[in-house]
Order: sequence, then structure tokens, then C-alpha cells
Amino acid sequence: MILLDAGTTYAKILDTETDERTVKRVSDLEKTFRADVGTGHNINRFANRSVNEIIALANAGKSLIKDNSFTLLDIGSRDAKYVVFENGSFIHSDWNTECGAFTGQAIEILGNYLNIDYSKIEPQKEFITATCGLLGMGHVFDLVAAGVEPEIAAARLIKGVCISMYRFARKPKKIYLTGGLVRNRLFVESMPCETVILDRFTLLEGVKEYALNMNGA
Amino acid sequence: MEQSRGVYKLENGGNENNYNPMQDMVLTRHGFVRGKEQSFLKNPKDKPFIGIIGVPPKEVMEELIKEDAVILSLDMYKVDRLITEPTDNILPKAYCAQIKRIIANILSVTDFWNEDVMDSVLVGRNPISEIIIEDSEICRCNEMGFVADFIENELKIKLRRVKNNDIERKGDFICKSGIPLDEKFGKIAGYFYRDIERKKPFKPEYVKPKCAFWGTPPWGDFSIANYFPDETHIYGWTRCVENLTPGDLKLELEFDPDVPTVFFSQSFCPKAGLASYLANKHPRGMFIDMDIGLTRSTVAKLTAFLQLNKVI
Ligand code: SF4
Repeated sequence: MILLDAGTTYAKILDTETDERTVKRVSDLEKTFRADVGTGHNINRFANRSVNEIIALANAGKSLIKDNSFTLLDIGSRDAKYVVFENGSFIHSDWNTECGAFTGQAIEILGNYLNIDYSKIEPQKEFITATCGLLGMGHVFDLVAAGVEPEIAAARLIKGVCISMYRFARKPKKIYLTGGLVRNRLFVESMPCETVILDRFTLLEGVKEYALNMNGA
Repeated sequence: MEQSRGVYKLENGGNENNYNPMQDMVLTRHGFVRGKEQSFLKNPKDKPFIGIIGVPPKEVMEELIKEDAVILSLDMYKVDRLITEPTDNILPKAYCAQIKRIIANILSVTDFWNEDVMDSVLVGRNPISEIIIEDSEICRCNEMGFVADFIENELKIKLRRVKNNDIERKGDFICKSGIPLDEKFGKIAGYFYRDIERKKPFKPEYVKPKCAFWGTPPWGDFSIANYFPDETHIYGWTRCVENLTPGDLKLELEFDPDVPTVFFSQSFCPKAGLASYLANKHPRGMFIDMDIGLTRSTVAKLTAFLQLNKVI
């Protein structure tokens, strides 16, 4: 079976027969490509069946995380979503798609534009609070114009994003992170709580659970 | 009274009407009037033709009944279609869908006289003889002050501002019944008229809840109700309306902690703060807001919440 997580920017593909995993830009997917089952913002263009992204995230959390109680946060380029389980039962979830969105993409664009290597920057204490990626970028440019080093300004934005994500996920003591932004070391180290990183194929684990149940049903 | 999904028998006259809040209907003191039966709007004759906004107190409504007034709910009129274009030059784009509806409703009533909407209104030829606005200290939102000023000073329609301090709760049988959620919203609005006409209160049977909806009616798109099971209890301001106590903040703040609850507000509504605050306090709460029309992500977020809570 071919499973697909088609996000806004990247497509993650899993072949369940061979366990081969691939990542491509969504724009590089062939027009004729069809996965059997999938999830993600762009899924309806590329899969025969789709799973709700939060359901996929919840399934993935249950199958990959040993703890009975956990918070799993997925931060992609366009949006962020989380699920909270307590003693094995679902408690909360949320998904920010409009306000607060595009932060992942904004951080990537900003890094390219200012020519910053995030892996070489130390996390900052000070932070910029921004409602969404676009407004955040505006604040960074203002700081740079006021004489702050571009690296420091960008790191403050990242700290601000981390704090708002931490609050969004209801301030857990420990947070399991997945999604495109977890590859950004500065982002992970700027989180104000203990973090455990899951790889970017996490949602596909949830899709797999769904597909297995679907076939078993 | 007989009722089942989509069918509503009016007691007065016994006419059978398909009742559905999405239909083109007008809510009057005579009950729900469907699109083709709106001719009474064309000819209010010598009767006072009164628009109302919110839930005026009992004594005001009784006075209107005595005068044999034709009453039009500007909240509910044309509830099936949210046509906001007439407000485009008047209100900001990012603004409460319900206030857009109220203003658009006042403007569009003039359609029945086949005149250019804006012109006829601005020269003071709106057929509505008076608008009564419920503008209690604590009720819907502060925006009612703006709406009142606009009606009086821009549209030049006679305006009466009334406060509803009724605190006697009439009960919440509809909110806690098993009738479909979209019908609950419609029937709660109708209940208000039943009460002033001293009809037997509508008391559907209690049903054990699977989940709950907290908030104002989803004015921007009632189709959101279709995602909820019939066993959805209603809390928040809509419940206050069924109780005929729209300013009962204590009641508005209540929720059932044992039932997964969706805390809803219209986008740009000041009640969003309260809704998200309560959602955070609730052990199984989720806050959602919606502007005009349901988005794919709102539906996904809502259905995931209901599925993961094993509600659907
Ligand atoms: S939805 Fe909110 S802002 Fe709009 S009229 Fe109702 S209370 Fe006021």
C-alpha cells in the first residue's frame, strides 16, 4: 500500500510493502501520482482515500508513544495541531489554521532571505509575540532595521513561536514534537518544556493504523 | 403540536409547514411564515410594523400584541441565506456575521416595495415603523450600541432601546431534548413567540447528552449543526434565550463538565473570549469560531473532536 502525507510544502510517502520512505516537495509530485490512503492539506489531489489529520495524529500518538498520557504537537509549514491523551483516553485537540498559521513557512522563508543557518544560533530569552508568520516576519525586519543582528531577531521570533505553541498545546510538562519544524534545532531548543522528537513520518503511522482498520473492517 | 425532523405543525390554524431554519422564512408572532407567504410584509396597512432585535422584555412584547403589531425578528428574517452585500459599504469585512445580517435584513425589507434598497432606506422610506432593540447591559455584545445608533441616525428609523432584566428562567426543555440541533435553534427562537402568545410551553422530552454545544446560534452557517448528533445539549447564550433571560450571565457561564463540549462563537464576536476561556476550563472542551460559511478546516477540527470523544 502507498500511504501519503501531503502537507502544504512537503509530501511524505511510505510504501508499506518495502517500508521505503521518501520526502518530496508537493510541487514535485507527478500529476498522475495516487496514494491508496493519505492525510494532509493537499491530500484530495493525490490519494484515493483520506483521513482527517487530527485523527491521523491521534492514531500515530497511540501507536508510537509508550506513555499513557502525552501531548503530541505537529508543526508544519502552514498550521499546527495537537492531541492530548490522559491514561490512554483522548482529552483535547486543537488545530490552528487561520490566525497563528504559516509560522513554519515564515521561519523557512526568513532563514533563506536573511541567509541564516539556524543550527548555529543559540536560543534567546527575549521573544517576539506574533499572531501569524506574516506579522512575525514584519517584526523581525523592524528589529533588524533597528540594529539587532538578523540571527538574534530571527531567534527571538522562533522563541515567540515556541512560547505560543506551548500555550496552544495547554502548557504540558513534556511535549512530543513532529512536523517540518522539528528539524530546526533552534526551534526545538527554544521550546520552554521538555521535548521528545518524533520523525516527520509520524502522521503516516496514524494513516497506517487507519488503513489497517479500514481493511480489517 | 406534532413534530418530527423537518416537519412542524403550527398550532394556530393547524397548517403544516416544512420547518427548517435554513429555509426562506420569516419569524412573526404568528409563527414561522415561509417565503411565498410573506405577502403580509407588502401591506402592513394600518398596523404598526415593528422590527425587533434581540429578546425584548415581556411587557414590551405584550404591548405590541395589544396593538396588533406585525412583528419581524431582524435576527431571524432570511435566516436561510446570509446576504451581506448590502452592508459592504457600511461595515468592515472582518466583522460579526450576525450584525451584518441584522443590518442587511433591515435594508432588504424594502425589497418588497421594489425600490432600490439603499436609496429608499436613506431617504427614510423604510416601511418599518419602529425598531425595538434589546440593549441590556449584559446580553449579547456591545455592538448593539452601534447598531442602535446606525438605525436611528443613518437609516432614520424610529428606535426604542429596551433592557431585558427578566430573571425568571422559563426552563430549557428544547436545549436538553433529542431533536436535531438545527431544529433546536429554530424552535428556541419560536419559543419566545409562543410565550408571549401564552401558548402551552413546548416541552420536548429530556435526552441523555452525548455532547454539548455552547454559544450563540451559529448565525454565519447553520449547517455546522448537521455534524452534531441529536443528543446534543445546548448551553451558553442560546440557552439563556430559551429561558427568556438573555442577560443571565450566571446561566451563560454554565457547562456540563462530564460531556464533551464545543464552545462556539462567531468570528469577531466579543463572546469569543468567554468561549475560549470556558473551553480551557472544561475537561473536554474545544473552542471553535466561524465567520460566514463553514471552512474545511473547521469541519475537520470539529469532526475529529467528536470522533475522538466517541460522540459520532
Ligand atoms: S454573534 Fe457576537 S458579536 Fe455578533 S451579534 Fe451575537 S453576540 Fe454580538
